[in-house]
Amino acid sequence: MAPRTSAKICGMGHSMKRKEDPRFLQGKGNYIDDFTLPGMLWLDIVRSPIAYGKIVNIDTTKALEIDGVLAVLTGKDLEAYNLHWMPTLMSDTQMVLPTDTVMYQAQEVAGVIATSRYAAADGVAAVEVEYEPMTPVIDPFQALDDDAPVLRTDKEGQEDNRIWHWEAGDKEATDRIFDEADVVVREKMHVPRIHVASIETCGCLADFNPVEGHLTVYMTTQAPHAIRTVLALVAGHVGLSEEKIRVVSPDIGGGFGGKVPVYPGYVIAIAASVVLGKPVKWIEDRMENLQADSFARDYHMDAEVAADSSGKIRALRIKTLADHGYADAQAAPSKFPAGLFSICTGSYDMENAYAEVDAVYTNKPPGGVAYRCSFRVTEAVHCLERIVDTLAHKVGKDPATLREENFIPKEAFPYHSPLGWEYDSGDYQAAMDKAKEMIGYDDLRREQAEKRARGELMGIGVCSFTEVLGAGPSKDFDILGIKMFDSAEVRVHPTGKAIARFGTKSQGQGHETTYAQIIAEELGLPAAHVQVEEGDTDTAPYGLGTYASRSTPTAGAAGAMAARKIRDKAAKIAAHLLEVSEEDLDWEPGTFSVKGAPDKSVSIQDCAFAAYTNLPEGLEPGMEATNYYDPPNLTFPFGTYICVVDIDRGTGEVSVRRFVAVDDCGNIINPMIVQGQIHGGLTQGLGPALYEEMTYDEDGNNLAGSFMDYLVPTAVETPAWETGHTVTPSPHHPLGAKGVGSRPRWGRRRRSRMRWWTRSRTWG
Amino acid sequence: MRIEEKFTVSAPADEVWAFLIDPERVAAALPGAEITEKLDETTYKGGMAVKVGPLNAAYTGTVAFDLDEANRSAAVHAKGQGKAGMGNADMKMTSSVVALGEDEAEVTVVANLSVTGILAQLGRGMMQHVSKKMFKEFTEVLGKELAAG
Repeated sequence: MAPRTSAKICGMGHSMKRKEDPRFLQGKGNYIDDFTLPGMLWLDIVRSPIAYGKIVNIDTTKALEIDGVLAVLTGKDLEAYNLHWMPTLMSDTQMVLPTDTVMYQAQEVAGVIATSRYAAADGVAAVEVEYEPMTPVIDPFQALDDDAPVLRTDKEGQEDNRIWHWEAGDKEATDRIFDEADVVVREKMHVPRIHVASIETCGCLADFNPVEGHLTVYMTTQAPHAIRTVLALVAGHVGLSEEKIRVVSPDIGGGFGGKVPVYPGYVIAIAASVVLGKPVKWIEDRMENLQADSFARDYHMDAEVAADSSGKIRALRIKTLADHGYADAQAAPSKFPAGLFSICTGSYDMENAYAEVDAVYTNKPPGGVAYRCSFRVTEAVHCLERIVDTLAHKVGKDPATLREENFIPKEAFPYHSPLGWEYDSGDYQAAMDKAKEMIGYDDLRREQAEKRARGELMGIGVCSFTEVLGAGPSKDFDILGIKMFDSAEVRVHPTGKAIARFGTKSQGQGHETTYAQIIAEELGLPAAHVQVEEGDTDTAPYGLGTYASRSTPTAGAAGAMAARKIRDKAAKIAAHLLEVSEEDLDWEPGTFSVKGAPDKSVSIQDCAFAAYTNLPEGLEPGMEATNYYDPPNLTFPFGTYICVVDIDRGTGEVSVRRFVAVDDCGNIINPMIVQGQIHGGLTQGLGPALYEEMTYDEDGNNLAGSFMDYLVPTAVETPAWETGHTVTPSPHHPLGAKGVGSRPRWGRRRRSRMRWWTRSRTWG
Repeated sequence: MRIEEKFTVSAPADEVWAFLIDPERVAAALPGAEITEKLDETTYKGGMAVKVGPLNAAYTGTVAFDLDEANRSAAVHAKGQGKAGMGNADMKMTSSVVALGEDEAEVTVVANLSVTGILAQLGRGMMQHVSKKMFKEFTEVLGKELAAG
């Protein structure tokens, strides 16, 4: 689609260079650790070396003797203020600091406050904690055994380790189809526990002003407004009320869902600042970040597909066990404990489906964040695409052909999925055709057959996914009761420049550029003249933040709607300036002209100046608008990815020869940024496919707690991604956009290698 | 972690056995080990410090012996609490002495060691190596002591 605006205006469709990059590339970004305040103290945290056990004694004597160490905060200290527990975003509870029991390795046990980072670290080493270890529950399946010890004895009425049971679909109808189907295939799979491993770890600088009773928290959070409200709700009893709390989320070095939850470190820093009346900074080191912060995935899925003998899918059945660790500290919408896992019927039309998830407690860190995907969508896509491959293998069809024969046809949209979603739009065959053409699919299959005949191994992986983004419509979506709308406030200055503030928070996605382009598209102001601000709760309108690929579908739409309100007002002013009626005006981005007399025109900048200097009678001065956008539906982007790998039969080494990714995220705001998002998502999908997994031994020791053991792909391991796109606009989004934060679509290692193996033997 | 070691000592089996069940002598022969207090006939308090790669792992705790004199077999249970957040260590070890000749005995050691915390995380790749080295040093000291005696 050719851009509607000129390169000067740089609205949608232009690959505008990112406005934030000059400061990032020159090392002038403002990350949390760049903030320093006079008299600032440091917090460092004593963490549990064991996965489960009683705390017999905490001896702080030696720590307090260290020069520069001012205080050691323990659970008992916080208990005096009733701040030793906190709620999670899923209405579970979680310790801030323990008073008697530790529940996972690397759990926070005490906080040391000192005048320097070094003194704080020395203090941590000098705190002597005596533990009485207990046998931990590490395996989530064993957690459900009758004789498994109940871990959450702190929770009244909790008689086992089950957190919740969730299900979707018609079980009986689905079972009936399975009973009579020609073909049933089944596969068990584990999408392993992984970590977002963002470049910047978590941290905060809490600054409580005891004179004014005002708290400012600079913090690495993807959802500053929600954090402010949660702080007011949990600390209201110690005098923190919402108008006296300011949360500032500065530049963030990667979030990926990992900076949505509230970690104990934030709360300890805030408590320390309130108790001591001084600013307190806390910055995690890498091992703390990997070992204690929220994980992603960890779904054990048992999937079955029922089909007729030709491979036409009739029904899907999935039973899942979700390992949530010590607490359900996911960041998912309240009514969706298993996230949007029910998107698991994906791109395929079928008669019925049934999915269930049981969540359990184990002695591992809590979490379950939406890492580089909408809530639990990666898990759903992985599950479905794997089992569909198994079906193709079983009925002896090419995996691409089998997918095509099962696609929801483009005429069927809006499509109602068996698990209750209304897909907005889609043309799955178009994405498949493009991917096949780009990679030369038929030639590759021929080559594969020849290689197989010679005993060489070559694998071709195909995936046609459908996602669900943009949470979400307020009738269904909330977090702790707060509806999941998002917001924008646009203010045009007299000289025709603008500031736009949003309730979301970029962590590297380029909001300062894409949002400016959205305003430019709607108002015709050059995007270069639109300053975008996010993350300061004192100035930005209220919003639920940036995660799960929701920013463009929600706040982006709010920006467009606010800009349209301003354009409507500008039209009144233009009519006044041109002395015609509003109906006689034509609009081209940036210019109102008189119908039939295009040389009689005024610019949007002229209108802005007049809004402050020369108003029509009765019109309110100024030029600004706010919009809180409550999306009518979610968006359903899709795509087809094809991957070619060569496997060395002698060493088992897998090398990715080519990877073609065709995405359809609706109308595109900035093609360069979208491509960058897809490159990042693919690389973060490659990680768990070949390198990354957060593993534990039977004692609950984290075995991947540093970058020595937790391998993230670098530029060396990353293949040259080939991207393409098709455009199927969302009919309900004001800009037709669908969002693109998420794309990790990769098969799993070992088993996937087996799969490639199997396919190369069977398929050619 | 499972540790299995077998070595021969040029000394009578009874002498080797007497050495192995004397905590003070064993501690003296093991670099980094010390016995600080005798709690009762079979239980002692002590400490152990060992360097594993970049980590200085230091533990204090107890060691308990259960002797089977007839078979010259000793079951040892050592439990330690790490210093500076090092985590805990727990070792169950069985050592037995078999006479190979009048002046030669074979010692078999089978131990199950479990550690938590940073030693388990970062040290596990090195622990087998460290354990081998410690046994080698211990065997040398044992050999010298018994030869001298």
